[in-house]
Amino acid sequence: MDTLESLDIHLKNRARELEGLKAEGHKIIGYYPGGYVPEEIILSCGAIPVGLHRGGEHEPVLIAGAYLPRWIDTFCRSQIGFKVLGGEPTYDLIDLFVVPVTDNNVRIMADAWEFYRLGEIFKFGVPHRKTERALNYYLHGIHAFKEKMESLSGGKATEESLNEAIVLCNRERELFRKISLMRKSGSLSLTGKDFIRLLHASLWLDKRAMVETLESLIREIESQEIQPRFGPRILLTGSTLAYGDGKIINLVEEAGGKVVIEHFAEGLRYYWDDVALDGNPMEALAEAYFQRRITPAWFRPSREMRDFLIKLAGEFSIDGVIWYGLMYRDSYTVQSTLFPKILKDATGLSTLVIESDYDVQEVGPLRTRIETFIEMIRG
Amino acid sequence: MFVCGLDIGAATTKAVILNDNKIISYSVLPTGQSVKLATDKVIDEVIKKSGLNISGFECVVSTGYGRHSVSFADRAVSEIICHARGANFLLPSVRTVIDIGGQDSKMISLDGEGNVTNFAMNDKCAAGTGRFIEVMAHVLEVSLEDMGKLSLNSQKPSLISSTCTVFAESEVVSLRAKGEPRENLIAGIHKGIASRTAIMGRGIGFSKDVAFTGGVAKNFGVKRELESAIGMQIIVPEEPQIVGALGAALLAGDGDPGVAA
Amino acid sequence: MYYADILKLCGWEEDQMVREKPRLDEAFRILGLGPDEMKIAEGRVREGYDIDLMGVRKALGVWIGGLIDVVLSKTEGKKTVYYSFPPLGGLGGRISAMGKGEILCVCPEFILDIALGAIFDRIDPIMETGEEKALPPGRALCALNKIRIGAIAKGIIPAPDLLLASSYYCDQGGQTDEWLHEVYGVPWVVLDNVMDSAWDEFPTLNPERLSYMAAEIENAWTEAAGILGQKPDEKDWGEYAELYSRFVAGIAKTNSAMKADPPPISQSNLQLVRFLRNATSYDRFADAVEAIDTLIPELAQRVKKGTGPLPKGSPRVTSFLIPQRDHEVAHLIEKAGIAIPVTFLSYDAYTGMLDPTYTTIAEKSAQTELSRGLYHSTSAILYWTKKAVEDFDLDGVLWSQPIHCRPMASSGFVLKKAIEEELGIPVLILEVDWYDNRIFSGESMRTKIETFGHLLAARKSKGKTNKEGN
Repeated sequence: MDTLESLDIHLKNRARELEGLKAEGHKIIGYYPGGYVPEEIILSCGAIPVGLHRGGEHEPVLIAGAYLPRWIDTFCRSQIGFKVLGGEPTYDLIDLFVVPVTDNNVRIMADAWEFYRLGEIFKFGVPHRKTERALNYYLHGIHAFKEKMESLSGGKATEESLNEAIVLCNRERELFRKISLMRKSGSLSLTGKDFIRLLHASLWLDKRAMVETLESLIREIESQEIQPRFGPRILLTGSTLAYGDGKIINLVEEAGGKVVIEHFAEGLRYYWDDVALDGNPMEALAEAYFQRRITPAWFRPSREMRDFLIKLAGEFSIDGVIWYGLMYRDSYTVQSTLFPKILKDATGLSTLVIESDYDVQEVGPLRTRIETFIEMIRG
Repeated sequence: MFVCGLDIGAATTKAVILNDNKIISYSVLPTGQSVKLATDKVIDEVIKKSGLNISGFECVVSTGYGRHSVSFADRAVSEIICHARGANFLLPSVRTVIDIGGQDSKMISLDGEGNVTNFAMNDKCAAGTGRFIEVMAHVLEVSLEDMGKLSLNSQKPSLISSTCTVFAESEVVSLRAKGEPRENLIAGIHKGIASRTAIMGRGIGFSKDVAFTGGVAKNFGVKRELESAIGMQIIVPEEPQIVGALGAALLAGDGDPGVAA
Repeated sequence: MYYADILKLCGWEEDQMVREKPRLDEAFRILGLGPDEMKIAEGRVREGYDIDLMGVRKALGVWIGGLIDVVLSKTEGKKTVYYSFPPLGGLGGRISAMGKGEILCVCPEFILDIALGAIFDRIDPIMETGEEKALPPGRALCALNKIRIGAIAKGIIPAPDLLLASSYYCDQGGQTDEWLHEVYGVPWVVLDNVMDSAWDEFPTLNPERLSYMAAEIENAWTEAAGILGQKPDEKDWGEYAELYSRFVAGIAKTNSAMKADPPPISQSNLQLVRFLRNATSYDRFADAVEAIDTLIPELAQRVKKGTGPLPKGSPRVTSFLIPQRDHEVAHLIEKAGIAIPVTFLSYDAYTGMLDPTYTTIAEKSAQTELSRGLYHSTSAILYWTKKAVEDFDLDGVLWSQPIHCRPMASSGFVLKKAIEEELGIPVLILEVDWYDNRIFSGESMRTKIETFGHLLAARKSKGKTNKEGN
């Protein structure tokens, strides 16, 4: 696909682009990629949002062992590891790391970043339930974030600049939704792996370039001949799917499965809800990013997430669910023992629960499990 | 005054005799199934090796994992304290000791008098210990003594998990089956141990001079990887295995209070 | 009564045993504790606790009473409410007080871990069931949650009428309660807290954060009352508060006794007494106060005589808490000659900094809990630990770092670096499980603890204090 090839070129050039933008005086704002940081606030101040979503590698996890105990989510440990190791452009270039404090794993990662002085950090809290007071708390947090952004960047997040950014981000979300829903047919030449690549790319490429890429991709898809593709349809879910952690999607596709839809709390762009344009933009951001967003597992309750997964399974005519968890993400570990039975009772579908600690040579045992599961549900 | 230090480890039992802070003799024997038999044997052996007619010791201090099982010891002191003392005696400039033994690994910070100022210890699992190397040597059908030598031929150490011995073992088996050269596998194993050790000590900090003790110190492949991992030169004393027993003997000599056996 | 000996050892009076005989027979039957188990428990109590102190013996007896109460609560027609450890001070007690004898509001897993675990050594099968059902091993999950699920699944304790979910601190607790809600249909009340304070903010409390937590506490209280069919009344708090403040005052007295050299009692025994507030029904709380009131003069006696489990001049350290499932760790520490006069959970200096402008019960509660530090942040844990070092003139820190607890995960690393650098005293991080002794190796811990004891003693004999630094 031509668009995907040009995406590669964008990705290759992005680090240099960011260096150039930084040299011009733009602030590069790194953020924890859990869908709770409104990029609109960053963009409206003239700064550049960059999701820090690298993972899948062993060395950063190993190095993080000097700063954090082992008994913390692997992706959270990796963030410390990548920062300490150096050499990853996004981690090296950022002027600020924004962390919405969601569960304890993320809080502990933020503790380490702060305590070991790895760089400037800004935290705001995300409550674990959806009540009016929780919404107000989140709104209060993003107001504080807005003030921080204005003071750091020298820009101003006016109602106008916010709405402009909202329009742009809504457009990106809309395009992602459109492509995502096209995958229902199961016949796109765009694979699950391709789509995940796009989601990852969108976390650090220029937003306008990304929108153009997605528009071009849709045109390409619409002009293609539909060729049926066979293989069990998979819903891939879990807490975090990092950039650089491609082993699961590779194994599924090698085993003949098709990931037609995925749902992760972190690492991928969340695109299901647009931000309203009528009324106060900050309130609209809070309403979309907190209130309407499907809850991750650490919410109490997290029923919304389970119901959403069941809904996706139905809408995308799923043959099986693969639940990919990272070690020590306790909320997801407990949910992984609850969800399979609930899914089975509701839909008759089976779930494969697998885990990773980004360790070397995990692929062998994972391959065995995935191949077996694909065969099981194929019949 | 003759004093004796005993280090009862999981793999080997060591004894050192001192007289007025001079090493008279030392002995290293496998521990086997019985701590009592091993300690009796090593005492006999070390006295024989001294060539002297020693009927008894002024004081005996035991250390190592079996230290509380030695009925004739006057005191039992942890091997961390003893390694620091022993290393300081042999190499007074040493301020950091890395000790990789049969079933655990330690990093010790010490002052100029051989007192421990800080330490870190890995004991949760066998990965990164002598046992890890033993298992791998067995899988690769290489003798322990040859592991170091063979690893030096490697240009490209394999990437092997250092998190779990059991998993690493199956990794090595499958990589071997795929044709990965033995020297690369061995170098990868050594590299894994070295990085684990470096990370364990990183919070405390390595200060020179750095000494490497314990049985694994005889493996110069691991030594080389450790030097690379911590970015510093490492000294291996002539008999790295006896440093703990030597420290125990020194403590016996200066009447330092330990924990009653 | 085949259990007469063990109960007598644990401070039960003869007439109390006679009065409760049918309950004791039934509860021990459900728990599977027969004459052999009683004998084993007796040995464990004699070996593991300071039974020269009647106060300690009585406290043990209250734990066993608490176990009986929770096992029989449903058959005795009580409404049962479970909350989690660490608890939110006072909320469980208020709910107990609200229902008088009709509501049993406790932390059941805590009671089980101490009474069925530490005393009777019969908790492992329950943990295994918890692992099998919901909380797989090898994922660093909390044994307390395993006990809760396992004990309910095995029918040892009833599924409660209400769960007060510990969302103010711990993610796993909330997940466990949601699991129980989904599988057993138990209603649950969530009480949220957002731990987003900046690193250097403590001890100042962010007003938004405090009001959020206060509103959550108020809501939890009202919602719980509604579910339990009670009408909440400020007077309920008044009655309970009186008993509670006697308890707290008693604890404060035992804490100050610990400033003596040597400390008159092992911290592990004192902890047993202090934690009674998590264990007792409203009815039995008076027994908990009695245990403390018995202990106070006994400690005063020892302080006067200058006696305690360790000799005078023993190095003194602080910890977070003492692993309680087994006496092994506490014994190892004491054998290495290390005294623990104060722990994070026993240190009550926060009471001196409470802002009187907060007036409602919920606000005061939120302020107390946040000022205590544990539910505030890792930096607050560091803050209070440094203060305890100064206040008790400590020689080091022996941090019992729990491998199963995410909220505490960075505490060990942070404390070691900050305290060694800023206060110049040695810090040992001991990775342990506080509630589950199936996985740690006493042997490896022994080496670390002995080494640390040796290190501390050597420094102390050379006159090195935390004031002088290294």
